[in-house]
Parts: sequence; C-alpha cells; structure tokens
Amino acid sequence: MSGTMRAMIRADEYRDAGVLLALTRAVEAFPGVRRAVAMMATPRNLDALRKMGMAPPHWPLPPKPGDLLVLVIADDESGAVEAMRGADAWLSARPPAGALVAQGTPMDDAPRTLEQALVRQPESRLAVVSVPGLFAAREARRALEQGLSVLLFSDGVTVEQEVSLKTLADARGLLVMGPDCGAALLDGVPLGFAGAVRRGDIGVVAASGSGLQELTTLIHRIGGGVSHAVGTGDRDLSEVVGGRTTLAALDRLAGDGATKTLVLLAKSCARAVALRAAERAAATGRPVIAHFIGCTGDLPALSGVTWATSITDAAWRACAASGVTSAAWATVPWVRSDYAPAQRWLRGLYLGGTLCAEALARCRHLSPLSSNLAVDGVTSSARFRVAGHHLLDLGDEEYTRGRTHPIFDPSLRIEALYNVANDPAVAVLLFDVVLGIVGPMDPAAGLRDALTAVRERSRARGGEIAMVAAVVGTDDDRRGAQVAALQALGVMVMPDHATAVEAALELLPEEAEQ
Amino acid sequence: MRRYEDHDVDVYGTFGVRVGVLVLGLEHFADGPRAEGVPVAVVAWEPPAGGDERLARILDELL
Repeated sequence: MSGTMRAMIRADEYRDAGVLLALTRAVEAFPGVRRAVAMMATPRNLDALRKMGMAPPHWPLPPKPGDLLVLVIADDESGAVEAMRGADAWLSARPPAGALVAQGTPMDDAPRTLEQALVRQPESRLAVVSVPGLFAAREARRALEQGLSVLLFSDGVTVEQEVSLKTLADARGLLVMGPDCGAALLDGVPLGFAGAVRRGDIGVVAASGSGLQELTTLIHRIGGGVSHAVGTGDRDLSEVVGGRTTLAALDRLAGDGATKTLVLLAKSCARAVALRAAERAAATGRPVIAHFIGCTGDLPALSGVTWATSITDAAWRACAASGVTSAAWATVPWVRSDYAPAQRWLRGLYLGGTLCAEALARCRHLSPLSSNLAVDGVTSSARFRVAGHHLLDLGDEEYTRGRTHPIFDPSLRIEALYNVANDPAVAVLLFDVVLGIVGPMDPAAGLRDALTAVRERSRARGGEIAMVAAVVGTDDDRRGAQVAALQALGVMVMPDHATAVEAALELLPEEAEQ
Repeated sequence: MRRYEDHDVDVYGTFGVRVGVLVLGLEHFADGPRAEGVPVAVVAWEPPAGGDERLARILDELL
C-alpha cells in the first residue's frame, strides 16, 4: 500500500478492544488517512500486522506485549502527522480502563485487580471476564477462588482449562458460564450481549450465545417472558466437559419459584450428554422444550420433553407451555430475483455461530456446501470466496483472535460483503444482524455502503442478487428501526432466523438446489 | 433504556447477580447491569507481566 506511514508506541499502556476500535475509527476519520490500526503489541497482533502489510520497516523502539501501537497510512506526511497528533490527544483525553467507571474515586484509586475490586464491593457474586484469551482462564480461576461465579466471554480458553474451571466451580457451588459465552440474563440482569427481554416464567439454559439471544428475544416478541437464561459456552455438552454448567444451572432453576417452563438449547453436543441434560431438566417436573442443533439422528421420546425443530419452534412451544398463545406476526413476502445465468450459490455471512449452525443443519442437502464450522460431511473452508454454497461464522475463533468481535467491529463482514459484491456466481446472500443492550446502536448503517455495492454490482452484471436477513433483538433493542433501514437497502428481513433460512432456500435458482 | 419490572424475588435472587458484579475486560459490559441498578466495579485490568504470557505463568506458580 503506497502513501506515508507513521507508527507510535505508547509504552506500558493497556486499553481494551472496545477502546482500541473507537480509537481506530477516530484516527481513520482524519483527512487523507487511508488506513489506521490501534492494537496491543502482542506477538500475535504483530504477526497479523505483517500479514496486513502494515508493519513498519523499522520500529522507533522494539514493541513489547504490554505496549499500545497506533499505525497510520496517509496520503502524505502532513496528514499522517496530524492523525498521530489526533491519536495522542484522543488517548490523553481518556483515562485508562476502570477510571471512567469508578465513580467518585480518583483515577489512581481504581481497582487494579479482582481482589482490590472485591474489597471495594465485597457483596459481589459474579465476575464478567472478557480479557484476552491467554489470560482469561487465570482471571476466571481467581474469581472462583474468591467465591464468585463467572461469565467468561473470552474465547481462546482450552478445553482442559474449561474442565478444570468447571470442576472447581462444582466443588464450590458456583457457575462458570463459558468460555465464549456471549450472553446471559440472570435475575433480570442482562449480561454480555443480551437483549432487552421481558421477565417471565421461562427458564433457558443455552450452550450457545446467538442462539440464546434469538430464543429469548423471540419469546419476548411472541409475548412471553424469561425468568433466567444461563449461557454455558458451546462446548459444555461435549463428552469431555460433560454438561457440568448445564447440570448445575438446571439444579439452580429447579429451586427457582419463578421458573415454570424450561428450554434447553445447544449449538453442538454429544448425544449421551445432551440426553442426560434433558432427563435432568425433566426431573424438575416442569415442561421441557429442547433443541440440540448439532445432535444427529432421531432423539428418543423422553417423558416431559418436547423436541423442537428450530429455535423459532422452541420459542413458540415454550410460550405455549407457559400459557402465551395470542401473538402472531405478519409474514414477509419474498420475491425471486431475475438472476443472471452465472448466479447459482448461497452465501451466508454470520456473526452468530449458532445461527450459522442452524442454517448449516437446514442446508445439508445443498451441494457443493462448505463452511468454517466443523460439521461431518461439509467441506471446511474459511476463505471469503469459494465455488459453491458457503456459510461462514465470522465470530469463530479464527477470525476473532487478536481483534474485536465482529458484533462490535463490522470491518470483517464488510470485507466479506465486498467479496460477494465482486462474485458473479452468488445468487442469494443470507446474513444476521445481532442487537443487544451493549452492541452497536446502528449496525445497518455500518453495512449500508457494502450492501449497496452488493446490489449495484450484481445489477451491473445483468442480474439481481437476493439479500435475506434475520434481525435478532426486540424493539427495545432498536429492532424496528434496523429492519426498516435494511429494507430500504433492498434486504428482505424475515421475522426470525429459521424463516430467513427457508426464504433463502426458496430463493435459490432451481438448478442450484441439488 | 428500559428497566425491568419489579418481581417478588428476594434481594439476592436465584443467581445473586443483583447484589454486585465485577467487570474485567470490555468496559461496555458494565452497561447492562448498571442500567438495572446493579452495583458494578470495573477492574482497571492490565495484562500481567506486561503481557508476557510465559513470565505471567512463572509468576502465577510463584504466588
């Protein structure tokens, strides 16, 4: 990439991924800036920088892992210098992590460790841990040793570490939700990316993040409510982890007077472990709705357990079991496009791994079919452009390593969308928009230019791509405005994800459905 | 932001979340609990041993 590059190192200054993303955006907004990056100087990030062609030939000082890096490529020297001054001012105007939120305390007095925070707030019972994966298990263990349950948002935690943490939690009567737990709703408190969902009598235990969000927000939109929704991390129902968090959560919910109906949901699972969880849920005496996306083959009839066929089906059945039957929503018509002869394939670009898994389970009959999710019989590919039907989970660890989750940072999906825009063989684009109390306020605006390019370039080639989306959230999460914004861009927004997948399949050119 | 309705649950709740939450990492994750009136303490977390994973592991074993 031509232009003038400048680099700045701020020694021993840690900022979290959200702050670094905001800084990157602020620097990119300077006149003449072509590209900007703000990141911690970890070995992995330095490697990524080299691959992006943004590593400077010489560093002013050798960067250390605890240093903050800012790099700018601008049209000319004066633009690069101005942008760097702007970055410096931006950082200086913002106190480091913790100081912003330790209200009423001087900046230097902010707690630096979990133990210090506990001295300040000794009644705390939960720690939300989203530090970089290399250090996440360490912090989670410290929290457990202090008597706190943990919501572990971080990924990059090994399965051995997960088993060790969950064994310790079991011994102490605590919960480890995660790793890679995106959302939970406990005691009416939204955690992680959870949406604004009404309280009610449906208890949820979900080995999936986006699945928990889709399920709980659908329950809300149908008219029901959620007592608690426990995220477990998507490996919890594997053979090796043995459903430790799921079983512990069910034991808690068994004693919860507000919970009248139970829903179990998993993105992937070992069949025997999943059945054990369903039996434990049924033993509470409540009606149980279960949906295990990754479980292949027929599941046996279990007394008190209803097997749902999709997340949407689970939401409707749970609401019916808790006496909510009145709601109905308008169906959304879909219109088959006038495809050019070259248009054949389905392309799914997901932020939610469970939603991608749900689409993959429904699309198994398509051929050729590839995905970056490991599923038997599906070709593995994490590339953005492949021949054939292709479903990508952009929130998977291979994409989030060393960078912000794409729910916060749309740049990865924008890059993938431009690949679709330039690919004459794509007929149907399928994607999700995941809202929540914490997520970005206006994700549709971030996708506007890329989606316009997808549509316009397809038209310029004499065709018309079909764009189908599901928007996960409630109107309190700004869902209505997001749906309207996407529709204005020509996107067919379905009322739920399962319907979006059906629409995408219906819209495929007939010869592509083999 | 919408607040949840009051329910007849004891102050500690089934999961004890309402009495206090600690946040380590992304500061955004303080917003949800705080909007519900839950006390939140955010740790000004920094990577141990200046982000050197190997050194951090050695320190952990020593402490």
